[in-house]
Amino acid sequence: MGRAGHPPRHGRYRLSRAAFADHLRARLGPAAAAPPALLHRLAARNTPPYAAALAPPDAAAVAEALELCAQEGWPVRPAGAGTWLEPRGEPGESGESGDPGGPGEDDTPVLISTMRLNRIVEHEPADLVVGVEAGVSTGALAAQLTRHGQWLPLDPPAAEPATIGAVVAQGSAGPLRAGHGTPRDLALGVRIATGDGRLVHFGGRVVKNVAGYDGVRLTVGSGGTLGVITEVYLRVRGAPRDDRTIVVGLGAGAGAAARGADLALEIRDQVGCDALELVSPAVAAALGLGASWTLVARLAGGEAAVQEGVDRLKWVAERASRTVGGAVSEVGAEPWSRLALLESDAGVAVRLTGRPTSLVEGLGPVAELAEGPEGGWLCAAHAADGVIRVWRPESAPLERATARLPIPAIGGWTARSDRLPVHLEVPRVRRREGVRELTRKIRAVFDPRGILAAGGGQ
Amino acid sequence: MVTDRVSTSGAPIATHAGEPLPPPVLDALAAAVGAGAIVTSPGSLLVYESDGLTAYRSRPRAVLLPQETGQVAACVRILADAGIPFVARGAGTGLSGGALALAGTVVISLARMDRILEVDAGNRRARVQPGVVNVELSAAVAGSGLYYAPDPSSQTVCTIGGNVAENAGGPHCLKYGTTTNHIVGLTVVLTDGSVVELDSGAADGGLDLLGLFVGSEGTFGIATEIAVRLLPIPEAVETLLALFDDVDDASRAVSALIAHGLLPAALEMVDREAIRAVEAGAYAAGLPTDVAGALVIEFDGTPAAVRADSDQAEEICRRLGARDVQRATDEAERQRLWYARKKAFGAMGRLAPDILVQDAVVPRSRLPDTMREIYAIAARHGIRMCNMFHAGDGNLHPTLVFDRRDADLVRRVDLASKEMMQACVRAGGTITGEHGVGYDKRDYMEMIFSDDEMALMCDLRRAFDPRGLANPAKVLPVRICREWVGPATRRVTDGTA
Repeated sequence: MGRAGHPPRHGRYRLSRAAFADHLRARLGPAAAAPPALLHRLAARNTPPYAAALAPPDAAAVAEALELCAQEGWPVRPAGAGTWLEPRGEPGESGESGDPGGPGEDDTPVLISTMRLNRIVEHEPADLVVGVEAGVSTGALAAQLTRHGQWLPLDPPAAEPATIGAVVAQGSAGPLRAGHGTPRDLALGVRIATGDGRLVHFGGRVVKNVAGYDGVRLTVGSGGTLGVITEVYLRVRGAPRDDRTIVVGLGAGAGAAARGADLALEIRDQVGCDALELVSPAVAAALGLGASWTLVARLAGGEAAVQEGVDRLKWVAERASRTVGGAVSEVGAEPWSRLALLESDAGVAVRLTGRPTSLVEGLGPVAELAEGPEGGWLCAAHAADGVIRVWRPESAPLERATARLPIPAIGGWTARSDRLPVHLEVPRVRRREGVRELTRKIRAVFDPRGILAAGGGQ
Repeated sequence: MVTDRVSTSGAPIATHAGEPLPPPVLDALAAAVGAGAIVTSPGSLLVYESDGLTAYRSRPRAVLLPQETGQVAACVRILADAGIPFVARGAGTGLSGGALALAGTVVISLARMDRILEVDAGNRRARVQPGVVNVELSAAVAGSGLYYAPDPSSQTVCTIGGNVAENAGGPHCLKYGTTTNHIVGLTVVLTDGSVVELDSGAADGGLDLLGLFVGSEGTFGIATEIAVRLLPIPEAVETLLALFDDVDDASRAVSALIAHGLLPAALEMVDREAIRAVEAGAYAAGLPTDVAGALVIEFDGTPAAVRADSDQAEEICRRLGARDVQRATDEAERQRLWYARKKAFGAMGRLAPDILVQDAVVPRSRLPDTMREIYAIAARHGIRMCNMFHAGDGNLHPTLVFDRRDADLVRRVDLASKEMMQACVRAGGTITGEHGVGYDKRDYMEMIFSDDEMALMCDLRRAFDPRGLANPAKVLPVRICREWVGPATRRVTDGTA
C-alpha cells in the first residue's frame, strides 16, 4: 500500500461531496457500505452529517478507504459501533448529506466504522491473551472469555454494542482501573490502518515485548487521530472465583463527599480494592444504593483473598462510621453494570484528574454542582486514582452554544471533555510548545494529509 | 585500539580511533558542566567502551558527567551545534549494546544525577534523577511502606534512567508489569537541547508520548527527571521451589499455573546446567544437581490469599511431575530458594570466559516445544548453554557460554542466537522482552516488522531527532534509518581489546 499522492489541500477538493461518495462506493464496492443497523443508530443518536458512511469488511479495505480519502484530502471520522459519536444537538440533521457540496464548501467527514471487523482472531486460553478485530463488541468479547473461565478486567462506560476497538482508541476505563489499570496496561499489540492507508502493527501477542518503539501505548487513547485500529491483542485474567461489593453510605452535602474522599484513601491503604468509587447522591440513587454520597468497593479474586479483603474493608469502614456516621452493607454486583450504563448515556462528560490526596479539594465544587439547584449533573470519582467524572445524560442536554461546566478553577486538577465539548472554567493543561510540536510531527507521521485531525470523537 | 575481525550483521567493518573533540567544543562543555565532569583520557575512556554486552567495544570521544537537567540540556545543545552525536548512559548494565558509543559519539553519563528529588508517599509517587540505582529507590521509600516494583536482575547496580530507556523488566514483572507501567512522567532533554515534560496524555486527551518514550533506547532524547509510581510492600510473601526431572514437565507446569488463573508475583525457571553452576560456587543452596529443571514460584499479597495460591501451585506442580516442592519458612530460606535463579548468571563465569544472554519471548503455551527447539539448536552447534528465565512471562534467556578467542565458536554462537530468535518468532513471539534491540538485534527487527513498519518507526524517531544525533545506529537496521554515516563497530572476537 503506497502513500497518498499530493492531491489538493484540505477544503479544496477535486470532487463534490456526492461525487466523492460515489467514488468511494465504486472503488470499495457494496461490501463496504454501512449496514442499516449502523445507519439507524447514527440517525437515532442524531450524529452530525457525514459525506459517506462505510463499514469495510476487513482491515485491508479499511486501509484502502483511508488511502482513497487521503488522496482526496477528505476528512475521516473513525468509529466503532457509533455509540460514542457525539450528538449534533439539533434534531433531524443526521445522516448522509444530500447537499452536493463542492470544492472548498464543507468538511463533512467520511465515517469509517470497524463494526464489520468482528472476528475473534486468536484465543489460546493457556496464554491468557486474546486477539480480536476492532469491531468485536465488548459483550461478545466478554462472552468468549467467560466460556473459558476468563475475563478482561476493564469496565469502560460503554454499553452494547460498543466495540473493543473504540474502547482502546479512547483509552477508556471504568472503576476496575483501580486494581487492573486502563487499556494502556492491558493492550499488548495493535494493528492500525494509518491516515494514508498503511497497515502496520505494533507489539504482538506476547506479554513482554520491547522490540521497536512502543506504538501500542501511542495508539491506545489516541482517539482515532493516528489511524483506525483494526485489531487488538489484550492481556486477560482468570475470572475471579469470588466477586463482592461493599457500600458505605455517607449522607449528603459537601462534608459527606469529603468524608468519603478521606475514607477512600484509608481503604486504599489498608485493603487494596479492584474498584473503589465515590458516587454522588443522584448516582447512588440511580444505582439503587440510596440518595447519599456513597463509597462503592469491589473485591474480586480467589475466595480467601476476597474474604480477607471484605473483612478488613468492613472493619475500616465500620470504625470510620462510628466516628463520622454512615452505613456499611454488602450488595450484589448490579451497581457496576448500572454505573457503566449510566455513564455511557452521557451527553456531556468532563473528566478531572488530580492527586488522590487532593480529592477533597477537587470534589468540593463538583459536589456543590452535583447537589445544586440546576439539577441533571451526575458525579463519580475513581477515588483511589484521583479521577472525577462529571456528566449529564443525553436526556438532560445543554445547548452547545452555552455548554459550560459551572464550577470554578480547582488548583492542581486537569480537565478534559470526554463528550460534547464544553467551555471549561476549570484549568486545562496548556501543553508546552515542545510537546505540541512533537504531537504535530507524530500525527503527521501517521496521517500526512491531516484527514484524521478531528479524531474519533475527541 | 581493537583489531577488526568479524561482523555478524554483514555491515561494513572499519576501524575508528575516535578523534578528540575540537577545543572550542571542549571549552564550551567545560563551561557547561565544569572541567572535572569531562573525561577524555584514553585510559579513563576504556571504562565506557562497552555496556553489559561486552562482545562489542567502541571508545567514545569523550564522556560528560552532568548533574542536573540544565547541564544535560547545555551539553546536548553544544554537541548538536557541532553536529556531534551522543549516547546517554546509566550504569552500563544493558545487554543489547544500547549504550555502546559508536565511533565519533560522546557519552553523556547520568551516573552523577543520582538524587531522589521528591517522595510523595500519600500519592505513592516519587520523582528521581535518572542515575538513581533501582534498588536504592526501594530502600529509600521502604520506611513509608512502599517500593518500586520493576526489578531487573541487575537492580543492585542498574539505574532508573537506564530502566526507562530499555523498558526494563525483571522477575516480578509477571504480576506488576514492566518499567513502562510504573513511570508516570518524564522531564526530557530533546536533541536540540530543549526541555519538555512528557505524560501519558490521559488527563487532557493528548497523545501518550510518555509511553512512546519509555523503551526508546536513548534515540528520542535523554530523560533527566523521572516520576515513578510506588506500590505498597506486600504484607505476605511465600516462595516455592519445584524440582522436576524433565524440563518438559516444568514447562508444562508453567503453562498450567497460568492457565489455572494463578498470578504469581514471579514464576522463574532454571535448568540443570544453571543449577550445577550455582551449586559449584559460593552460593550453593543445597539443591540436587541431578534435576532437569526447577521452578521458583513466588506469591505475594495478603496472608490468606498467598497461602491459598501457594497450596494450589504446589498441587499443580506435583500433579505435573514435580519430584519435590520446597516452601520457604522464613526469609533466609526464601533467599536460599532464590539463589538458583539469582546467582546463576554470576556462576556462569565458572564455565567459560564469555557469556551471551539472549532474550526472546514466546506465548506461554508454546514454552514446552520452544524449549525443546532451543536445546536442539544449542546441541546442533555444539554450544554449552544454561537457561534461567522468566517462565511465567514466556521470556526466555538462553545463556550461551563461550570463549571469544575461538573464532569458530563465536560464529556458531551467532548462528545459534539467530536460529533461537527465529524459533521464538515462529512460535508467535518476539526478539526481545526486556533487554532491548540496541546494537545487537537491529538486524533481527526484520523478523517481526515489515519495511513499512520500520520506516514508520524511523519517521517517529525523526520527529524527536531530525538530525539523528541521539544514539545513532541503534534499534533499527541502518538500511532503514540511514542517519548513521560513521563506520560500523566491529565485534570483538580475539580478546585484544
